[in-house]
Amino acid sequence: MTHLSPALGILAVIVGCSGPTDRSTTDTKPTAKTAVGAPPAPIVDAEIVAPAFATSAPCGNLTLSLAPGVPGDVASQTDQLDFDCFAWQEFIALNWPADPASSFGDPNDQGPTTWETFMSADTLFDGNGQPPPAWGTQPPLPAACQALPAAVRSAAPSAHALTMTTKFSNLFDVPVASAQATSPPNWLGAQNGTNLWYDVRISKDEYEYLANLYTPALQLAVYEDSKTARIELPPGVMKFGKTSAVGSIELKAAWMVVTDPANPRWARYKKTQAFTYDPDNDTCALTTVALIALHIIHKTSSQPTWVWATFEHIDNLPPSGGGTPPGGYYNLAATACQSKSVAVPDAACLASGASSPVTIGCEPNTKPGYNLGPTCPAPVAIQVDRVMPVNSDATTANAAAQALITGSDPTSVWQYYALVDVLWSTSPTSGQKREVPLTFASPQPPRHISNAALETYTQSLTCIDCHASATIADSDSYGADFSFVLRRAAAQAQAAKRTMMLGKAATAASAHQ
Amino acid sequence: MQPKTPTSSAPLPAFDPPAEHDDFTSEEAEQRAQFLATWSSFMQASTEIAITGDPWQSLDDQNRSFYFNPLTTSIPDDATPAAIEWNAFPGRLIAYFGSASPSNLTDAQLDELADTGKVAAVPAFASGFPNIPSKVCPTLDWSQPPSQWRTFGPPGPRGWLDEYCEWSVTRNAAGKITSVSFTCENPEYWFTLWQSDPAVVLRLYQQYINPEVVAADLYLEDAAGNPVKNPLTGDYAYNPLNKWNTGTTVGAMHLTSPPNTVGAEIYLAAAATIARPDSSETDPQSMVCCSQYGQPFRNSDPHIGFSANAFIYQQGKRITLANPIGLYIQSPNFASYTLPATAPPGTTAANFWTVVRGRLAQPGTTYDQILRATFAVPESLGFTVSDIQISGAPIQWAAQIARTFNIGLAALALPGTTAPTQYACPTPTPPASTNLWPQIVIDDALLTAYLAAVGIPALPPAPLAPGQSVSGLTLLCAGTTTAATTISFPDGGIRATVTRTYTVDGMTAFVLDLTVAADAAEGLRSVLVTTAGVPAGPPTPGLLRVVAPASTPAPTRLVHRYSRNH
Repeated sequence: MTHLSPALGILAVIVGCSGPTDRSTTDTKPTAKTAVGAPPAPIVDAEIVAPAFATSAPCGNLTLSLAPGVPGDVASQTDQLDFDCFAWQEFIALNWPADPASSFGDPNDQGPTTWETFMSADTLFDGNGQPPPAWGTQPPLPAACQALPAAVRSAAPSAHALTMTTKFSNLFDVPVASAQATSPPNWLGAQNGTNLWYDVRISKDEYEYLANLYTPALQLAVYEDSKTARIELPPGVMKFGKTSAVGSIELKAAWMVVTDPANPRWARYKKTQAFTYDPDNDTCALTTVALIALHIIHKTSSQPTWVWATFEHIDNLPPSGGGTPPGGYYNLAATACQSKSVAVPDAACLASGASSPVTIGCEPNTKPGYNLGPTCPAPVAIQVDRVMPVNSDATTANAAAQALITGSDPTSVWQYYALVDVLWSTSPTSGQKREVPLTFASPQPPRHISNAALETYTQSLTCIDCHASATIADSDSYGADFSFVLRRAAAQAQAAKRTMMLGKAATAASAHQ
Repeated sequence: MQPKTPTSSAPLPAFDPPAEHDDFTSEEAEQRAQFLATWSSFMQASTEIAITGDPWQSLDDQNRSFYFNPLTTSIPDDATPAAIEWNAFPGRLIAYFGSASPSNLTDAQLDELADTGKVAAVPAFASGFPNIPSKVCPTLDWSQPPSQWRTFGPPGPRGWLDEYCEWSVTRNAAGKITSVSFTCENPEYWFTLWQSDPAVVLRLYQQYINPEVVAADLYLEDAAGNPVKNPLTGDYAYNPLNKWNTGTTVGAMHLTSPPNTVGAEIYLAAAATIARPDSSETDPQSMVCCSQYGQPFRNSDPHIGFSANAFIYQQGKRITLANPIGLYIQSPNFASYTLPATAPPGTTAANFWTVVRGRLAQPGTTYDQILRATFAVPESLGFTVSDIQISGAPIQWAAQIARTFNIGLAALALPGTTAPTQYACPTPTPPASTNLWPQIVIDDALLTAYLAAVGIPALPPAPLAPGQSVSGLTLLCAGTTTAATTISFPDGGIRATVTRTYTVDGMTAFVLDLTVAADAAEGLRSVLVTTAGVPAGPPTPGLLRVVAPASTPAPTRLVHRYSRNH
């Protein structure tokens, strides 16, 4: 509501007509060398000309910038929109090309983004009781991948190493890149008949904290050597708008295999090269994969119970009003779904209670009735739907961010990604108990949050329903500051043992060379 | 970059009522005008009090210059309010009794607790709330010896609903919920409305609560059960905790939990504008522990304070609460609601949500200004609210609905004029420099009745007319002293003599005979209390208000209107 006297309003207009513009507000004072009475020094274009496109835009109480540099905290926290805008700033910064020579969002750029240079959670804990490798070390390639022709390997020096899920995959315990965080069968088949691949990375600040906790014993010692200490991952820090520490960030990505690279639809995706490894068949392939979903969770000083953001590609599912799928199909839902019958000859592949043939129906978000594996059927498309519609705040933030991105580069792939939601707390708990469940007080927003590609089968839950009970390795009670990464110290040890039992010790050893 | 369009700016001419809601009919223009003037002066006084802070009994809890008074500050007409929102379900119930507490109540049990103040199946909660640790800073200390624990509060028949949202549930004979009324209306509005015309308040109670409500039901009573009059208005005094506005099943006309006031909202926001040491600026809990402006673990106070503070500490701005100041229900998210199969085709849960008072988001804003809403299913549809599910669970408690919406307010930020200074966390002043802290001026008998019934009431500044003489007015001050005290009115036009002094609940009451000069100008008046040997603090603004005789309610009119009830 405004209260403006007519006289003041007229005065303001007059001043505006003859007053300075933004352009002339640039410092144009004569330099010391300017002679009195001489005409002003010519304005140097480079100092005043704005870019041809906007590099920033208002979003809630924040300003979105097309720039690298992850903010250490949320500068304004009044409502959901502020957090949605913060999430977008994180998304932009974390997806900024690691190579300064690359362009943000270039559809032909398959080089790593900033977050892809982060440490893989699989690499952090190797299960052999050794300290983790230096920051920046990329996941080791299984022997089968190393056996690929050198020309192939050298063609993708920074390729991701992604591993197939199997019937041995258990909830959170085995770092399998094709498994969702739920009990098996926990794979998801895209509409092109391939299973999705997942990838977990952590930031440098978190890596440096966890680098000293690389075995279950070291983690347990935090609790047993003190009556008050607990795992406290380092938070991001910002003061007066300046970031002094990025803090702990964990990312989980969902990648989809590009089976039809000539299809123009893939110009809308961030793509990369990945080695996809099937441990049971001990086979490896170099594959182009496209990013279709990304979780970003970030611990900050003001949000010590983390900020939980999740993004998806807009072509994953049909928009609410329907539409024509770009390139002929949506990633996770058929526009005319038909049930499929899949024969499962090996009973060991069947899910508990299932029998062959297994019907893969059209009821959305239904787990497949069989596991993947060497004697199991290949993946098929699973019908997916979004249980919780994208809310208006996210829609507002998406519009602001996508317009900013498109304005800078109409071909940018990042315009085709959208925020789904952000979980945060209006009264975050800084002093936690040592034992789980940890407290996540005053959650916002008042609704479930889930990503259709990352939590397909658990969309009635929210992040904290599971993460509040995250423990350290080899303990069911001591908390891990909401992170499931620490459990991988034990999981990797189990995986290493199993690999050795399978007579593949040499494979594991060579993978760390 | 395009040249920026110049904007105009001007101070706010007056504070508007919450959501600019109008409760008067076209025939009640005089009462409306009086109400609007009283409301604006009330909010002005609350703003000035909040900016003043506590220089009498605390160190480092003043210097609130980063909270500006919109009546005296030019505001650009393109300044956009920022919504600050939090969940309506009481956060303290979760923190003290939820899964991370020793009580380990389930969500369903917490819902029952929020609706009834009890959990029937859990012995420790069968008759109410168990005690809780008194040590809550820097963190909640469950290891504190139980002998040091304290009673759970806030008190009151629904005092635990302390997120600026209270509700009342209606069930049918089968125990199923048929309707829930939610309110976030502050009690100050209703005290002001009552002062302007009690008949309007009665009409609203009859409209929204029960047609059977009579005027006498709303009167404040003394210890003997007799209605108490306010001699400054001539009317019987309003009891905000009357029989129709109590508990969670009879009715909820407006907020009643002691901290659920708009004055607290303004005071908190102003208190939060003080930048604190870096170590206390890290998160909402560290801020609320340092600045002491509210209760830890509420969804609201720590968040409001931290959000307001971020404008200053992070961005160097100054703020005020956006006009119209209020507490507002935000539209629920119905995505997790499932209707029964018998619901008419095309019906959604949103069809059963009705904004009864207030309004949805206005152009240029992002937040709703809902004051009162109901979630109800018409009996004709053959099912009830309890037949609707939220996240797969039937609605057994109104609290389940409360979990799906937020309460909000709005702040307006302007560029700062100076860099913020960081102050230490407040501490009590040394005894040698502690002053009494004036709180309210009120008729003494009325004060006694209010203290017994509801505590210090959220009344508008005491209205006085030029030339008026009043006996038995009490100035109530926080704190006690044995030293000689002097009471003065620095703004002029008022003289008073102290006829009696007494203490009550750790406060000092000065009973005054007070006279207003015949030529006293209209406006708010401050009160200064000085204690011998103690450096004088500033006066407390806005405790009295000189009003034109024409707008002073005529006692005979109001007494006559309600005398039939007694």
